[in-house]
Amino acid sequence: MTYFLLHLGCQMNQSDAERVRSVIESMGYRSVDREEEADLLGIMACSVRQKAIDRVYARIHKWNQWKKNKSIITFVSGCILPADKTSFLKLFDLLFGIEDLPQLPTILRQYGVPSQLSQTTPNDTSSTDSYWNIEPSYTSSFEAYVSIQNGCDKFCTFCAVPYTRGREVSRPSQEILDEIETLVEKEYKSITVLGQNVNSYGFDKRSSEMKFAELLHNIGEIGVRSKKEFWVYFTSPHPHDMYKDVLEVVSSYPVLANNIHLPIQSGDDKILIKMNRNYRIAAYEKIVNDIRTLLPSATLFTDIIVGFTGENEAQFNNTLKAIRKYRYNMAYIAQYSPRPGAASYRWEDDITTEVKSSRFHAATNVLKEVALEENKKFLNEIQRVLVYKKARRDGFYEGKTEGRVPIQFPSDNEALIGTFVDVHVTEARSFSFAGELCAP
Amino acid sequence: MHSYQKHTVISVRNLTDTVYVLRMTREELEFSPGQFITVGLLNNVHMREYSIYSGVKDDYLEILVKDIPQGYLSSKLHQLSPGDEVRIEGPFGYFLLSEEHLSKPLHFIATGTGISPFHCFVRSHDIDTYTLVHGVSYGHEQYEYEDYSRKNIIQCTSRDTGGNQHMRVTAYMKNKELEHNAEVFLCGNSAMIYDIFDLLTAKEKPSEHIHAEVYF
Repeated sequence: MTYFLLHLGCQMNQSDAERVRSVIESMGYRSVDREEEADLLGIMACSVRQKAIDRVYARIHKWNQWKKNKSIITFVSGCILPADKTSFLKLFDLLFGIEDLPQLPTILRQYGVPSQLSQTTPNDTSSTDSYWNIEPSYTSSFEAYVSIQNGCDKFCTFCAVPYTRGREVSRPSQEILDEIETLVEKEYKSITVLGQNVNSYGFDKRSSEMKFAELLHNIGEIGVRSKKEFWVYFTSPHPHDMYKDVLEVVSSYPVLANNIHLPIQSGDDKILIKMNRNYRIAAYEKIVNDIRTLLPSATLFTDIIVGFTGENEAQFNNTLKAIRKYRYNMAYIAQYSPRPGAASYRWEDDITTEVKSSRFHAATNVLKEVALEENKKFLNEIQRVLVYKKARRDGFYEGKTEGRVPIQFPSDNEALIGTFVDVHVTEARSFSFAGELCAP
Repeated sequence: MHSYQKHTVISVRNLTDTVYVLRMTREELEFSPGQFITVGLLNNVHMREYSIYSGVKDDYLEILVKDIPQGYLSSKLHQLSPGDEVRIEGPFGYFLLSEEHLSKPLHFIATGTGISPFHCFVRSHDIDTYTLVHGVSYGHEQYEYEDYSRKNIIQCTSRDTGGNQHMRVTAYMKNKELEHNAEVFLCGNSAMIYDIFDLLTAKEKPSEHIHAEVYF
């Protein structure tokens, strides 16, 4: 029996997809790259943009056509808005929330697909807790994502996640620490702790669970105990809950990587109010200052939306000022597009496509300047690099620095993939470096 | 994970033709004054956010709702009867009065049903150092003003002279001098919030002392 799984969207979805793969493979299914060869076809859907949802509809219409000639089963899970859920129920054979993943073998059995696992009695306690107990089928042997939280309580007006993934639920800390410890034992080198708002970890459990800084402290201790070299990242924190203690812990442990992703979204207080971000630029700036003081060599990444409903030139210029002032190494800049289900979807999308595009290019150009200036500070330095893959360019390999800046260097040694090397930075570009491998 | 709680409708109390208070069972819901909940019908996928109108000491839960006929939910909630059930998630939000705020002069500025969190503030906290400026169209839109200290409330009406001030909230605030240590809380439509925000920052009020909750 074979399966094909398409995952759309963010790292959270990727992490969920790894767990879905585990469950399916434990039932005896084998993954195939060509969907035409699969008996079981699934999609981890994403509702962040209409385009992603359109892809789900296009795919299922195609698969349903195939049903005329072959026996296949289709399923969908992931981030799905209530309205799409109603439609998907009619189009897919199976639809399940990620928290119901442990029940998938039972669901498939009820659908008439027997397997070794589906013959067993299912655990009836369907909850996010038990879904997290499923060991993911990691798609990399050295890089892994570890979910610590599901859902979101922030209700940013541009985002539909609270309506698709539901409330913030923190995974038990011991499970997180066990998973990370296992990954470290298996020689994983890059571990990213994932959640919609990682730094509000534990808030939902009130005093019965540790808070994010303490969780990071415990992860740091795993690094100390293991005496192994690895980097732990976290994404994304919300500026509202970003307290100094988190940065202090990061500065205390070498395994907690010097890279902070702090989404600003806009550099204008009024746009932030309209986005329901619940912080002001003054508060954001204070966090950036703390980062620069406590983590002077850290790279700073952010997320920005340009052309949000009602954004005028002056407000957009405040975003440009913010890019210049906070000196990001990388910013994921998006042109605003109304997301069905999000609160802002009810507002007029009154910034034209041309203006959004022009702001996108203007913001990108400022970012390029700033990032280049920042990256030049690393020129002629030796950077520790985790090697990811062979570069497209013949005779080169590609990796990332601790600050997650991509770097290419000449080599023909495939054995370097998944290992740390030292690279002498010989060229700084806006979003990458070039360098020479140092002798081991 | 979606983990809603069922609450039973106790009453629907009309304040005007279109604005009403939906009172429901509390079901031990703990919240902080100023927070909001999401509310939906049991057989309907749509949920909407509403600030909590009742106080933390009340043994019931209330929301203040404007009936919008073309909306997904508000008209349906209006038609509910005692004994009907609704689903609720939450509480959420950060539009809160801290201990530090309580010792300062407080200015609550609302348009329409944006008065809801301020009603909750006043019912929950023992405060008298506040001014509530409420912007509505007509003088009859006095949403249970008897729950506030009369000297603390100013009604601004834009379409008749029935209020204390026949002008928009922004026009009223233009000439208002605030204490240097005042905390300002804004709740309602984004146009009002933007205008007041500009007005206050032009008067060099630091933005961290301006708190806002946009209704959408």
